[in-house]
Amino acid sequence: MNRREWLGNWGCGFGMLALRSLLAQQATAKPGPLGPKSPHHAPRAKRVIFLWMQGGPSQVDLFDHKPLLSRRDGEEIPYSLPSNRSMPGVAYSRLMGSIAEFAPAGQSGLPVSTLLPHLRRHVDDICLLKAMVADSEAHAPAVRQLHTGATQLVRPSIGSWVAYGLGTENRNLPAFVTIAPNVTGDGGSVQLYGSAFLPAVFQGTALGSSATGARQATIGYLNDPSTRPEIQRRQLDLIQEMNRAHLHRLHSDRQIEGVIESFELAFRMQAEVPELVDIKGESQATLDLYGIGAKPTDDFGRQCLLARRFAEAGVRFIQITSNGWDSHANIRKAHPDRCRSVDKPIAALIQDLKARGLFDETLLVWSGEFGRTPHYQDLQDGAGDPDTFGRGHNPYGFCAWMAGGGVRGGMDFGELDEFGYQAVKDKVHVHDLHATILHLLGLDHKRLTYRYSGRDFRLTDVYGRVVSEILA
Amino acid sequence: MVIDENAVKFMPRWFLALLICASAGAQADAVNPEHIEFFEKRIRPLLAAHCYQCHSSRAATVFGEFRLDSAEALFQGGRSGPAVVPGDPDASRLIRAVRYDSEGIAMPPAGKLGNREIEALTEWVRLGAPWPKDGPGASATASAAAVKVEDGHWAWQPLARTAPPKVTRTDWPLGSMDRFILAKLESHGLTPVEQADRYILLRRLALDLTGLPPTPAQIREFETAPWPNAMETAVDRFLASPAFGERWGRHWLDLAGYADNLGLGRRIPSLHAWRYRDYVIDAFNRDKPYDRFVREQVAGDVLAFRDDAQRREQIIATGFLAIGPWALVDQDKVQLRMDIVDNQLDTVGRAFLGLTVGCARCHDHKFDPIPQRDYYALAGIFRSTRTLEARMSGVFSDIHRTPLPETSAELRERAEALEAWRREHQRALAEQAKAEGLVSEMQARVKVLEDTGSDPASINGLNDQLAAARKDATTARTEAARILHYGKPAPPMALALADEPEPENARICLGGNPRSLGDEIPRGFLSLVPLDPNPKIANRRLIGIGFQKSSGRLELARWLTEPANPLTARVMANRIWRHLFGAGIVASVDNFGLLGERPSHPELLDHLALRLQELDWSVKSLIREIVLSRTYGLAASHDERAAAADPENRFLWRSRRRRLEAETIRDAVLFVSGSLDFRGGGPSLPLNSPGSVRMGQPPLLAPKLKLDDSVRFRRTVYLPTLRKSQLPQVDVLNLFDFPDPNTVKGNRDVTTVPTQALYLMNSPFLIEQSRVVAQALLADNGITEEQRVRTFLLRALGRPASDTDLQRAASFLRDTEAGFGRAEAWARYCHAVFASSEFMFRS
Repeated sequence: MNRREWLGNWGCGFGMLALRSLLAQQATAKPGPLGPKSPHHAPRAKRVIFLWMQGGPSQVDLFDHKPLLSRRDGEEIPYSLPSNRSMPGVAYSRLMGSIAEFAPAGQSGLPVSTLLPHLRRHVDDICLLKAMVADSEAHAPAVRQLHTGATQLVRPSIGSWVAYGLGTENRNLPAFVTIAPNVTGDGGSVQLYGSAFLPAVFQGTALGSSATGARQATIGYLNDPSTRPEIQRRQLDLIQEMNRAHLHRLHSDRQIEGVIESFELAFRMQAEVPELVDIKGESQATLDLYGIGAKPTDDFGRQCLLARRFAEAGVRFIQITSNGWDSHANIRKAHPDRCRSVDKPIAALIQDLKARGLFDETLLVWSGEFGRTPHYQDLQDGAGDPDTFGRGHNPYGFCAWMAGGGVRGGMDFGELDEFGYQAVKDKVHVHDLHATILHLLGLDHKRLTYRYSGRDFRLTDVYGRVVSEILA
Repeated sequence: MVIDENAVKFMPRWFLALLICASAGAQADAVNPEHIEFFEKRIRPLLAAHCYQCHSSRAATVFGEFRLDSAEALFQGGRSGPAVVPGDPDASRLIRAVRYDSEGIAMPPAGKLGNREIEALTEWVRLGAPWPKDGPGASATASAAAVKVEDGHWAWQPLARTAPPKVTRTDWPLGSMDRFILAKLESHGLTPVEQADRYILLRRLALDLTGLPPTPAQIREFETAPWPNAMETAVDRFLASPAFGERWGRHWLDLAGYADNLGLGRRIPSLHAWRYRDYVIDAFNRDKPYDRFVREQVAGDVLAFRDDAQRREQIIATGFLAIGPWALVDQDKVQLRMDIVDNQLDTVGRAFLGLTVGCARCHDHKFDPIPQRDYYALAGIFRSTRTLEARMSGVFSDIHRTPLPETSAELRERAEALEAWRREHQRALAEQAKAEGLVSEMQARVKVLEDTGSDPASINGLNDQLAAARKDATTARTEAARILHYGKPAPPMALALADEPEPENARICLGGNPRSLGDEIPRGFLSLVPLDPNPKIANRRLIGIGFQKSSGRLELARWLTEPANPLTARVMANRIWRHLFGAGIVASVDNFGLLGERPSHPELLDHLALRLQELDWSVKSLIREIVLSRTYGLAASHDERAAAADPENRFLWRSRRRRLEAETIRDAVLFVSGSLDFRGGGPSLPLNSPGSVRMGQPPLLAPKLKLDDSVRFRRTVYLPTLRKSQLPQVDVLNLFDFPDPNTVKGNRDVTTVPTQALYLMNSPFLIEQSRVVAQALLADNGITEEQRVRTFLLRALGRPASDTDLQRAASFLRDTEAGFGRAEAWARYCHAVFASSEFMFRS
């Protein structure tokens, strides 16, 4: 479908309908550009919740047990590092064993770090991708790649592609939302939910930002606090009356019809969104499950709970973000802290989705933009206390996981070398991850194209392989 | 553009089909490479442009069950049998179809191909319909000589002068332009609608030329003045207004990658970028000839100059290419450098030439005759140009800056500022010494207490005070350092290009990889526009008092603006047309290549391009000619018959209604409410209050940056433009399709989404401005309520209020006033008018 076609569909014939009857007739109304579309093949999942661990979690401390690394703790780095990159303090680096204990979990017995006690209970539901690779070692390009496929160029985000490919399930809501996105930190940017050259209607609707936190996450301009609802209703009626009169003088104008419809949808969103983002109606048990109200888990717990609410309401792509995984220093304290903040909420999300029968049709994807090095980084150039050591960026091998709709649980896929530095077997590139996500949603990543500036673009550019080994 | 050489597999999808089917074509086994090149250069683009919409695996419905995107599909044919009999054009259905001579089948349905294209297809079938065995791109280093300019595509043909065609309705056209338009309409059996009424016309003109609605005084004058003088007077007045440059300068900035912060994803303020913005606005206001404008932006730093003022202006002009979405923290500096070169080539290609040069980074351009060698000929020019310099710190590169020649007044001013800065720094050092002294003193007291075994409570109390003192000392130290490192008054600077001392040719980066190098390519220009003679890149040139080697930018600037280069004038004439009519004669304004759109009026486009050259590249003069045409004055009315025949209004049987751009919405609201601050120019960021100071690191903008009060009500073009989303106080930009400053965007998106409606209903900006205008209206006690409505609607909508308007207003005001008071009722009424489609659209 090209831009002209969807503009053509947008709100045809709406203008003349009276406001109130229109509200009553939602079910029979024609779809706009966001109306549901047919996938390429039978989907295994209807929607995605994308959990981005900003900064890059350490694979050897969370998901990939490397006994040899621990045995050779403090020894010189046995593998060669890329020569064209510079990294502060690298000359003083030595191997650093895992900062955490590992133990087999679940029926599958996959070893998972004890830093994640809650997630360990759900290991049979998740599929560990243990040999992820990405193309850049700097945050901004790597983050862009995880979200858009491209390291340097301005490209549509994966959520925009999904919205473009599938539309929305709920006409009262946008198809793609991002909760408290990181727009100013390392690599953070509106590009991460931007639609680039795709029509702007497919861009993610942001609820707040990481600066304001999940507690204040909402859609902008949902109400006018300076006035009373009766005035606003009256004012909207006046606007629409003028718009319809304008349209009447013109006989026919698709754009004005679109404007009239957008005011109606906005009005519906005013009614639906505040309730959707208000978690007051949730039981105390649910709030406790997600760790809402408890300090370390409150922010991410809210994000997970909102994600569940949006999933339930029919949003296609929901993105949530946990910041602060970039542990160049003090990883022994920082990583356990980070784990504490996400572990319980994520486990709650899985449990809650299951309880509501949504787990099998919702795809969860957890990943950083890259992982971390098995060797330590001493920012004080050899003078630092080992307790202050951290780990550097590592795009050559890291771990991610998927769970839910269409993914095999309790399995791992791929291998890093015995130190946990480089992917050696069954690599999954970020492009492959993207191809697989689209596949599970019923979209063929090679056929989901958009023509711009003289050629067809894809989320996966010329790359990407569906990792069929992990499909249920 | 970073594209792996494998990109060919994906451009577009039928290449994949081709790979799968390659083994099927027996004909493909023994083909001659020249034949394949002929196929790739001439036939494949032709099939892609004219046939694949319906006859490829990409097509929504494959018509006639017949595909033309693989050898297998071709020789197998569709429902009607094989399409091609290799070696026998006359027996081939494909050839008969394109000749329009077979019974029933005449392809393509949109119109017969040109003779040259038909001949090419015939020749190809005669050669045995060679189809490459492997994926395309095998000839990636094919010589540029193989590309013959006279072959093919309209865009790189010389400008052609065509006499304005004859028309039936001879009384309609006001000039040549109208005759081109009317002839095309008549040939399609269409009639133009009537002329717009004067109110609509004046509002259209004011918004198009200045980005602001007309004033009531202008409207009153215009509605009664004799015609056509009224029109000419109005046009000349708008062209002379400083608002003209603010409007048209913004159009140009959409192409320029301009922003007030550096680097993708960074909050580093771009302290000097505003000078480029002001240069652009000034250039349009002074009607700088467009060819000169282009030359200055590409090579201003090496152009001759009369005086310091001119030199200064020309250096600033190169900000066009110096300011861009650079990944300044990229650790791979070799890659970063080639990425910047790539972006510069792409910008020059799209903005000036309408060409996607960037596509040839990794392989020959798949559709346009831009061989990879040409890319690297141009890349050598930009590799020999300095865009970045050294580092700000660590892995942060910095953009090259050139100190600008100062006027004596500026020198005096700076000497004074330096003196003040010294005093300020001394004062800060004194503060620091005082604070540090206090810390030592407290430390000593704590020690005494501890040594004497005093009670823990008093030690703790003192320790708290010590902590506070330490904090104060840190603050004082940071402040002193900030003043020392970041506060020193510097000479005016421009982010600008400079030639490298040792220019060098580029080597082909195989597959786009800057570490895998192929042939060295002499610096030069695109072979698809060969000039006679091409400018020669001088090895040494006299600049000022010494010889300097040349990067080739000066010669590139000349190559771009030679009248014999047809693209530069065509592309700009088309951009001007696009801004006045809402769509270009070539709809894809940034892409004139084979995959771009075809011109709807090719002769008119050349007429306009030639006029631009004849008018000494005066943009204002060309705009004047266009807006004084009958075509520009058309109403936007509906016509059932015309709408059925030409639903897209490609032939301009009426004017195109369009939504105001984001910045025009804001400016128009402020203008109508009376809040607009007309001052312009100068920095737009609060430069002296960075959000954080980390020694040795660039200063960062505050995370919650707010508009400086000094610019708060200025026109939007003078507000900071950020590489990320725009400031929350100008959220209208984020919601109404303001372009991403990291891209070349000659055609802005126009979306209609509910978040825009939410903004129009609930944003503090509209609520506040509605109150302001309502208050002003109510403050005038000498007029009736009806006169108040009339005054407001004339100002907001540019037309007198109708009876319906008056009734509607009266009824709303009466009902609302009853419950909520007069002030609130009026504010709500004005707000509704601002949010209404008539205000938001230009007819």
